[in-house]
Amino acid sequence: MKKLLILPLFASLVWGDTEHVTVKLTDTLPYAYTTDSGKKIKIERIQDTSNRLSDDYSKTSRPCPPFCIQPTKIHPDVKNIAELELIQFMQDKVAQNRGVVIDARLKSWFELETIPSAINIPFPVMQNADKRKAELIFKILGMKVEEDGTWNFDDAKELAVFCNGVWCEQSAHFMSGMLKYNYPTSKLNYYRSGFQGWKLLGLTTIVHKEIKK
Amino acid sequence: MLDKDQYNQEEYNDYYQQEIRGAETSGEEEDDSSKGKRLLLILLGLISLAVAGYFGYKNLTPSDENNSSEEKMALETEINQSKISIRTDSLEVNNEVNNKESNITESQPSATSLKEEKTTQDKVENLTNRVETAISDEQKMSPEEIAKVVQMVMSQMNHKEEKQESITQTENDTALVKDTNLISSLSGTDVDSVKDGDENKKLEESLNKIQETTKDTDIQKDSVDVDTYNKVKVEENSGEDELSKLSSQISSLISDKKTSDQTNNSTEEQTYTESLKKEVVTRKNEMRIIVVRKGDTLGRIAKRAYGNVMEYRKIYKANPDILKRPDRIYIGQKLRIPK
Repeated sequence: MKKLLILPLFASLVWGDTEHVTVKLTDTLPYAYTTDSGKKIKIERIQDTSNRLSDDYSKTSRPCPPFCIQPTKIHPDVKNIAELELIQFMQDKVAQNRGVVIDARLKSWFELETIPSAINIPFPVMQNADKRKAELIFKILGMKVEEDGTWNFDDAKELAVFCNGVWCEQSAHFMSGMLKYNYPTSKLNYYRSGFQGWKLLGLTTIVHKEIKK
Repeated sequence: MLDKDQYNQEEYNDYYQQEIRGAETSGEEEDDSSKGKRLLLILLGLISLAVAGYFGYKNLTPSDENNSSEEKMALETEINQSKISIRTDSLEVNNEVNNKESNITESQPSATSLKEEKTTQDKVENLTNRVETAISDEQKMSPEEIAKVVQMVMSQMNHKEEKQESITQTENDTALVKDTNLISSLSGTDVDSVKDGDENKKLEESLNKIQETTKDTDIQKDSVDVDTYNKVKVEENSGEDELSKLSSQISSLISDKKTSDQTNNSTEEQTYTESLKKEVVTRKNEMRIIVVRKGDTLGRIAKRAYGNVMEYRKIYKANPDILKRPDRIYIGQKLRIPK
């Protein structure tokens, strides 16, 4: 009788460990892990194959300007990345504290929903930053000021910047502020598909401030 | 006189009537007899014809057989020869077909092979003709021979079909290559195919590494609240790790200066930021979440959200994965309330 009770329990544990992933990230990668606010977050896609975007981020048309289709490149030397490169960035750079994912949208947008492991630097902060503020931000990001006053970006973190997507120019504004104070282009990555692209694939998102009524 | 005439008239009538009756009855008798006679004659004729035919045939055939004994002998030798040639030809054709099949698997069809095929095809046709004639002449072929011939013809037909398929396949392939070349030349860019570039290889390798590390890691089941839309509720900057510290440093820097959602630059930038703020309000309205409380029904929630009980359908449609029936909701369920 005991065996009869233990067997299903054991089977459920085994089943739980080797759960079948229908919607994987890639054919060989079912999911990945990152951290956000000190918690381990599993990056996976929505497993309901009948799921569709509804309401949030299913909107196709906003007035242009200002919500216009963005050019592919923000700067010739700034690398464009997509979802897989961003996940790789989280695994390689963010996990080892060598990189940061930047959500360049306004704080209200960031709090509503964002990409795992992202921190928020709203674009107006960087766009309108004077040299002193830029220095403060850069220092937090790993930049060092040499004795002669020059800024050393050797240990500065690599950034992956995103906003709402291809119709959103907030990343471009953020980048302009970074480039204005010579943050190395080799340490800047632009995730052009942005949050809408992330949502479109049903990838895990982080909610910092849940809206309740 | 009158009586006599009357009598005569009556007698005449009787006589006349008797005459008519007599004529009628005698006429019928005559007809029946003539019909029977005719039938008998016809039957006799037919029988005599059949007998004559039978005896005639019987008498005629032996004489023909005797007369054409030499011809028969010649025919028999011819048939025997044709049989031998059929066997040899069938063997040859079988060998040729086998060779051809092996050639096809190894190489593409060439002009020579096509020629050879044509000759074998002709041979098979000749062979079938001979077989037909042999059959019509003698009506005798052993079942083994028939089976061989059928097998040979079938193999030839299959071989032909395979050839045709391979030819059409190669034609399609070449057409596809032509199309892709055309498209690439028109667009002036490379064909939209996966490149085996170094970057892609590197990415693939690193992603595979990620998978390995994911497998090796002892996954801690954090008490993160994941909903059906893959949204994870996390308290901002609540961790002790370096990333959380960095995030809180940035947040404090921004909040100190009170510049997070503000811009003191041009009016253009201000309007842009204002439009973004409006958009986020719209979004907030679009993705309201209601937590089901005790005593709630979809109708009551709809009344609270929209002021109309009948709007419950909107909530029901917006939560297909949570609500299977509109009359089944449970305390604690988080329902999306569309605008």
